[in-house]
Amino acid sequence: MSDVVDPRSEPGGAEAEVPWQRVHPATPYLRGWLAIVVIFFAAGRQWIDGIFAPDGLQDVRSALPWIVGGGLGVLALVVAVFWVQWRFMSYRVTPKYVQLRRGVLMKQEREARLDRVQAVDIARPLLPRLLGLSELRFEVADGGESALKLEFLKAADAEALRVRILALAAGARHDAAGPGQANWPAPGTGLGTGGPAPFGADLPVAPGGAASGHPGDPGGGAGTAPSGTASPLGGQLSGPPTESAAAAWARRAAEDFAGHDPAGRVSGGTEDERIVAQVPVGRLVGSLLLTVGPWVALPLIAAIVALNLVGWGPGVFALVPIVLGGVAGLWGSFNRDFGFRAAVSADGLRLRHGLTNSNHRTVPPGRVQAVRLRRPWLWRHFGWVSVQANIAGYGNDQSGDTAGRSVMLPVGTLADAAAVLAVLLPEPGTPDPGGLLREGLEGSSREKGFECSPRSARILSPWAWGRQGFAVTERVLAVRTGRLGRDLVLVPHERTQGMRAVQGWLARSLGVAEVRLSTTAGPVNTGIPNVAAAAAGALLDGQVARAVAAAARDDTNHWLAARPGPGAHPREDRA
Amino acid sequence: MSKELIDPPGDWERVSPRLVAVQEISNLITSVVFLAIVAVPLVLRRLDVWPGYPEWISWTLGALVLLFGAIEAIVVPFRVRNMRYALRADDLCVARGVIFHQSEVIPYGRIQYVDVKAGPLLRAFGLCVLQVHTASPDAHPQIDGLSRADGERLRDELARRGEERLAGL
Repeated sequence: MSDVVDPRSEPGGAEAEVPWQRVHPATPYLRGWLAIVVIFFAAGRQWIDGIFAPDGLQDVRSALPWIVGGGLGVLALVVAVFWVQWRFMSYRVTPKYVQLRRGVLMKQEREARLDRVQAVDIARPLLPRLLGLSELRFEVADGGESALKLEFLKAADAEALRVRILALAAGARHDAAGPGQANWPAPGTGLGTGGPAPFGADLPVAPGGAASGHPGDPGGGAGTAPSGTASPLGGQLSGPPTESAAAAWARRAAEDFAGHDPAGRVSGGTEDERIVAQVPVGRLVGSLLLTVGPWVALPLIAAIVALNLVGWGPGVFALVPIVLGGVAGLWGSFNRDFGFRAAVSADGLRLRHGLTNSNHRTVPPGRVQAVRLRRPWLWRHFGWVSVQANIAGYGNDQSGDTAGRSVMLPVGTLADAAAVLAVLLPEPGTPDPGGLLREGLEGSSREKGFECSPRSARILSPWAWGRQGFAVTERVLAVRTGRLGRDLVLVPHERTQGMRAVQGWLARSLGVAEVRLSTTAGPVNTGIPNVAAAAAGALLDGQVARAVAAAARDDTNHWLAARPGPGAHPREDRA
Repeated sequence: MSKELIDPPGDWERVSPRLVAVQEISNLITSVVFLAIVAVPLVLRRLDVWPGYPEWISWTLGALVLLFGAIEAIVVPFRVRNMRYALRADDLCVARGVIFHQSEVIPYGRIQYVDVKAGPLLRAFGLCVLQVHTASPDAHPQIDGLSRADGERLRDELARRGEERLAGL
């Protein structure tokens, strides 16, 4: 994306013909409400303090006209400024770019290339959600700046735009929006039937996940609306026509908070998507409680309280910030991952989660740079796994509203994780992907092609050396680490940015090296510790050839563009 | 030597030996600067401007600076001799380091852009630094001490091979 002052226009005429569109008028208010509140608070505080001073009421009564006049004047000024800001905000979607124009004095124009789109998110923070608006965010991989944000659009418009942008990015090349006929087959069949099997093909599927299509919408009243609409452009709610506006608004808000998307595209699995994994509330709560934090903090707190009863040690009030911080963290995670639902569609993997801030994310297939399955020790009994991915553009930002964007599945069974992986990594490159996952996550042997660290590495990793290892399939490099908390990292060959082998003097005398794969920034660590030196050299030697071969075989930059067949894939034009 | 095992096979080329002179001079300058910084309080003490200053701090720090400078001066020739790069069929390999050895491989198609830089000292000796950038913040190998001609030739060659094999992200 580029922040340039002057718009850059394509030589072709197609770009110039697309008209600029306005965002919703409430946008500046929603973006700037905090500033208004601060201004009024700062101004009003002194006034309120004045009331409570002796004789204050007298002063106030005499000055009342001025105060009210001043307040109204400020309000009018604010409204005027916001209106002007809104007038100067516009966006448009051309066949090649998404462009956004902003700013009165300091003009800003951002654009994002559609064929570099890595992910499209729809975010609905609380306040815009109450008004039926949403925010569209694009992660684009050309330059590493932050996402392009389109704020705020009506929910239905945002959804239609998202579908259209993904269709354009997928190369379907049709102007009418709509998910299009899915040339991209559902993950059950795999892109090359008869060849290597996709993930999840042989793992027992949980009953909820396999149910194709439409788990019943609990709100029967909502049935009138969304699932019937075929065209997303016309995705307005079709309620009974005689409903009053207030009742309609109330019903929409209730549906939205009950877990339905008012545009009707995501909830319950509509005709163009299939749910592959869901996180029940009990499992989410269990997973949050079964992290190391509470189990370390609780005994500590209990010990301090007990000591206090005896009259020794720091006061109980010292615990308050710790407890509050811990609870806030837990609440934040719960809030973010509540109602997590992963579905597969022609656009890719659709993730929906969030309690107060509802988030709909779309990850096109094959765009992940690296995927990590993690099973902490406390989850082993339940067999739970969490899935995180490095996605170009998401970066390593782990705070605020972007925290948790790399989470593909906060907690789930191995079957759930395999179903999600089938979308993220469509071609695992081995005939037994389920076995690879099981061996990678649970095993520590040399089966399934895993090469382990040599015995001499015992000194460097006394606890985990037996399990550290890697396996190379046709399409993917699998790295296995950790003994208590088990990790399995999968990196597709064609996403290798570079590879480095590092050997300190101690490692050299022990005959091992550490191999690091370079991917785009993200939470997944793609290092292989303690590789035998000869194997490290061989890895470096062969990896690039494998990457080139893998990229030539399948290009997921335009995954919906016409393919001649599963056998021979022509090289798409790479931009 | 066992460290060669982690370098992939290829046509390895060395960097210019003039880099030794550049790095030794730079090491000398750094040591002198640090010695000066450490010596200032000592001088003040001797001139009775700052009588409370304990002299042993300066002596110890000064000794440390000299020690590290000497170690660096000894290691530099070995380090430069071990800096190598290779333009292989599909990728660029860069290897460096004596005690802490690193070997890095970058596919041509992943190269986003190539930087050729030269500070004043390098320019005086007719050398430059070539840095390769990819989409990953982790993968940006650097080749120090190429002659200017070599650096520009390499940059053009990398750009050409990168264009040929341009890979989407």
